[in-house]
Amino acid sequence: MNIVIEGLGKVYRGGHTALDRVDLRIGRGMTGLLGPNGAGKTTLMRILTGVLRPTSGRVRVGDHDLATSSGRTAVKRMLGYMPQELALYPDLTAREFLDYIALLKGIDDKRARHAQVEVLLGQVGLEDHRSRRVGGFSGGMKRRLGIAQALLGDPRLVIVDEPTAGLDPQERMRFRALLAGLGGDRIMILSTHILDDVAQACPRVCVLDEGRLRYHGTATGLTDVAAGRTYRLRSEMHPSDGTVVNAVSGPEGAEYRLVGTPPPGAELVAPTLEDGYVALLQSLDPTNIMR
Amino acid sequence: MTVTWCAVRGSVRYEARMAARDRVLWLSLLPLTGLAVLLALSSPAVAGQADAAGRIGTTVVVVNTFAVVGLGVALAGRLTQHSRPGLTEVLDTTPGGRTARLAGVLAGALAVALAPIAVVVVLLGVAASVQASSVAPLAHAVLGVVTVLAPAALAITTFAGLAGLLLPVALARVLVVAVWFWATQLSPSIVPVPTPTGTVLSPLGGYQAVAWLGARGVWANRQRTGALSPPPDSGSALLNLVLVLALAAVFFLAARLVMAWRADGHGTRDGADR
Repeated sequence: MNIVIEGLGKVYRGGHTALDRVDLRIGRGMTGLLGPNGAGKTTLMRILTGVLRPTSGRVRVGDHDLATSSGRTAVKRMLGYMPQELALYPDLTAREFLDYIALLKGIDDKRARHAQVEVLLGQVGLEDHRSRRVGGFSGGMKRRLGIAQALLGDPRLVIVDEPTAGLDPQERMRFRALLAGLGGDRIMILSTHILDDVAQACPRVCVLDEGRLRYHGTATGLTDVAAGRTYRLRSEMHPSDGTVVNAVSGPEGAEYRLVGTPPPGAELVAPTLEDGYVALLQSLDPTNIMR
Repeated sequence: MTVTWCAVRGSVRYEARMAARDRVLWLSLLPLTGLAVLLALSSPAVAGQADAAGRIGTTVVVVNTFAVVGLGVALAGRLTQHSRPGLTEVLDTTPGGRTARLAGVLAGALAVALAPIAVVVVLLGVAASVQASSVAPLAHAVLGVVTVLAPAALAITTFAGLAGLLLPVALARVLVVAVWFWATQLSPSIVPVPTPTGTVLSPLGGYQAVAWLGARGVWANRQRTGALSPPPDSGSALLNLVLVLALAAVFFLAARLVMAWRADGHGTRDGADR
């Protein structure tokens, strides 16, 4: 099964163009969706889930056309979605919440439903909290419950939006491990600002910027965009050339990691995915990455 | 079983559970139900009726006036629970459909909120039946729940749900109370504004109470102001019932439209920002 996107556009009221003629093909496995704020990632994901209608273009998920009502329903039957700003029912327990979503997904058989809920609670490490009301959960526990609800019904298409935002490092590691084990035979789309997550979990990457698809290919390919253009510089002054990807301060000044024109004294280093991403945005518009 | 029916069932079950755990519901419903019963027991309109079954009929109307508005106040915030950003996206990506979910949510909340009112009315019917050694008061109580309280509760629940989607919940609650008393109590002879009170459009249940429950001294029996206020009989009672249910259907569809409109990125900041 593939997702085929052709000429996809979305213009919101007031004329804001969120997506502009996006052509994309997404296959099985994990695909990372990257882009600055307002790039159109969430709009693209909401269109793929069938809850938002595009202004132009078409999307096919497998044999199903999202332009038709039957196509959208068919896609929803094979979909698991976790939004960026996840809200839950504070008055339901974790088990009740998952059971409710399972019923909404059409899992009618009580035994099968309960078994699946228990397995998923275990998978996301919430088995000891199954009877606690969700209102008392921490942010990390809520996001784990969010991924559990997305996985109900063993969906063939899973879309997760910023799953690790706001999590502490331990929760993030746990989440990454969980996501890494989910790719396999299903289409999994992971949207995030945290490039480490993409670097570790996604063999393929798409980059959106200002509603346009700027890159689609392997993660290694995106990393290579910065090959020969990534430098390390020890300096007491902020470098005037290149774009600083990160800086670590030390007793003898700071160590800067730069992409672009090297300042005097800079040392060429092997790029990372983050460097590749910055280099890509820099090549599109030098002011872009300052946003 | 279809996905749609499964979604209805799940929504009824879990909305009922959440409503039952909602303190606002009990804090607004129980005092008003108690007040309604006290008013009914001390009402001259009730006490003035000779037959026990008729007294129950009038009691149903008094309970409908005061207790059901409490139900509307309590449920004004329920639909907003389900349309919060971050939750509505999850729900909308399930295949059951928004209409099925909304129907289930309203039915679940209504079932929980109506239950104590219905139990009180039926208990009053049982007491009156024992006292009168007749099954008629109990039958009238049950019929009153089905033909007066349930349709009125459905209408006010759907209206409150819609109001809660369009306004801040506190304001929606005030609106529900104002509209309820405008539609059931405000007589144009007292305040010269057009009102459904005393007409077949009113959800008070007066037509059913007079025609089927032997009630006296309620609006439908006193105020006949024109074509919309025909004499209370089975025909006008049925017409009133149909119109109240139709009103509930209109509010339901309007709430569904609002939810769909919002899900498409309107009326929130989501649409423009992403």
